[in-house]
Amino acid sequence: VSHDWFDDELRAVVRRAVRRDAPDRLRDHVLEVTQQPARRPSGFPAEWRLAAGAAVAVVAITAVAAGFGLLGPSTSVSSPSPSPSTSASVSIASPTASATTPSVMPSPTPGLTGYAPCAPEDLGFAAQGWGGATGTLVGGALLVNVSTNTCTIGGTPSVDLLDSAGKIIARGGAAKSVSASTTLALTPGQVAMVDFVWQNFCGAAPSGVLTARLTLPGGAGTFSGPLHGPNGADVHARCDNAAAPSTVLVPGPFTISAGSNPGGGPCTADQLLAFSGAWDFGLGSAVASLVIINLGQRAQGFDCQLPVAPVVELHDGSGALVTAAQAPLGASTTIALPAGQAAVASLGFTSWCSAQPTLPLSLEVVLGSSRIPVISQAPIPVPGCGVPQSSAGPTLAFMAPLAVPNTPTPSGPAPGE
Amino acid sequence: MRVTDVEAEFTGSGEARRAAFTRLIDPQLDPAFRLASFILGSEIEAEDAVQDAAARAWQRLDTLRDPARFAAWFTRIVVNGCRDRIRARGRQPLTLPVFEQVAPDPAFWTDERLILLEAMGRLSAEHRVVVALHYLADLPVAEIAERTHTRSGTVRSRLHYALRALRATYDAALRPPERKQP
Repeated sequence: VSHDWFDDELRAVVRRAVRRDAPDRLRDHVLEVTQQPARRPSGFPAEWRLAAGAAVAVVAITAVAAGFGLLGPSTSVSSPSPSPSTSASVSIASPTASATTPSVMPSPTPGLTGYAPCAPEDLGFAAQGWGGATGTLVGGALLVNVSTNTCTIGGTPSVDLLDSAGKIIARGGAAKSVSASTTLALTPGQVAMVDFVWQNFCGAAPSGVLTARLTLPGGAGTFSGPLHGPNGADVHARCDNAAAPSTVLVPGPFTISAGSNPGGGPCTADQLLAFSGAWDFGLGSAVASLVIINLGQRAQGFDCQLPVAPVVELHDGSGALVTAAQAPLGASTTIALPAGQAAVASLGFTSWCSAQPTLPLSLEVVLGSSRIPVISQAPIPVPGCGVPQSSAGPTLAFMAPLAVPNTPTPSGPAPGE
Repeated sequence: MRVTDVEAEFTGSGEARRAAFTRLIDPQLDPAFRLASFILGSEIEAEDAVQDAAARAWQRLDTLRDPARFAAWFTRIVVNGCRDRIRARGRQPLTLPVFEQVAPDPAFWTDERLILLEAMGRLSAEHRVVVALHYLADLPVAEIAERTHTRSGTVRSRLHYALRALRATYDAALRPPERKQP
């Protein structure tokens, strides 16, 4: 078979493998998208971004060595507060703050005036199954703000369930519109949750992991991901009426995930999910949030103990390790991460003075012998060489350690130390 | 519509901006849907991915410096979104074909072509992205590199290895079965 013949054959197969036209409803959904207010031009005013970037470029490497302030006097870099989304300011933690106070410090939920709606890339998604009894299964879906700004979500979403082949096996009702009373402001790292109830499933037992798909009202975003927790062929809603479709009910709007349940051991990789947000560029540097969620059941799960600065590896597109951020010697503190909540840190990436790497770059959190791939909500950029130019090679550093929004107190040394 | 008109509308009122965006994105929806369907192996997920990409494009419209590059810019957003979805799936397999609701054409789908299709379903996400952009969107290597934020050499390499794997599967399917020795 000649090369050209095979090429033509391949082209024909690829083109026949997909439907030619997008469904009409996709056009309708896209029109809905434009009814959302477009976001302001940038998360931060330009002059502030540059100032923060320059500070990161100069201070990042020393900040790592300083172990969140274990060396020398305060190196706090304060920035003019952009209004109204000031809660996510990027600065270098002072020695007194040590590992206890994140620089990406979420403020208490403020009034909603002035906050932009969360864009899809501002939010990380996870879904959990199943609790409940008597044939009706209750799951939970969460959205976490992975950006460095406070933003808003609202209304009651709809949730569909898909099997491992991508086919819908249970459909939710229409997402309900946003009213002022149901709008929530999410500070960076804050988690909003909804419960969903699966009823009346009369089909063949689903094989493989189910996917939950959550749609926000008003075209504000659609998110999907595998259902974590009890799942698969043995776990499905009871068949009550074979003539009626299987449905997913969302009983109420989002609520902010809060509270704690002390007593858990070290966090394990299989109970965590990690995200990084969009990167803000400065002079030769980039800064983004790293968000780690404890997927444990809200009401039943215990808090788990998470290092405030676990090793975070940066890999290039070929999978090769480029550099890693890690806690300096002596910084062995942990925090209690409640089930259903997230911890947020600020990562700085600077000083790329060598040849362009193979893209895309990706991050992994290393916990003991386990690794958690970080889901990037935006491509990880290659920063410039920095001012002044560094000969130390690319540097990834914690600009602020992990902290749970509004509960920044660490719980003491890591277990076993 | 001329690009300068679009630029004027981008900086105009909300309604004018919305109209300009709709005119730009409408012709991109079919190719974006095809691309996402092939990469993700699911029409339903492809719909979600394109809708999310549209939302992202609308929110980030101010970062598009040249409206003439809208198609390339939007394709890049779609591809990045598909990659993230595949990453979020963890170990779940990708499946092809994706024409879930279209009656298959038995005259076209010979055994060899079905085997080729199955082999495409086993390609890695990155390999499938370049195959889709090259064979579905008809893009040359340089444009694929731009839309995937990769170097041309990397694109060539990925295409080479993807085609080698597909070719090997196809050739094996064409080869007559070996006879057992008595």
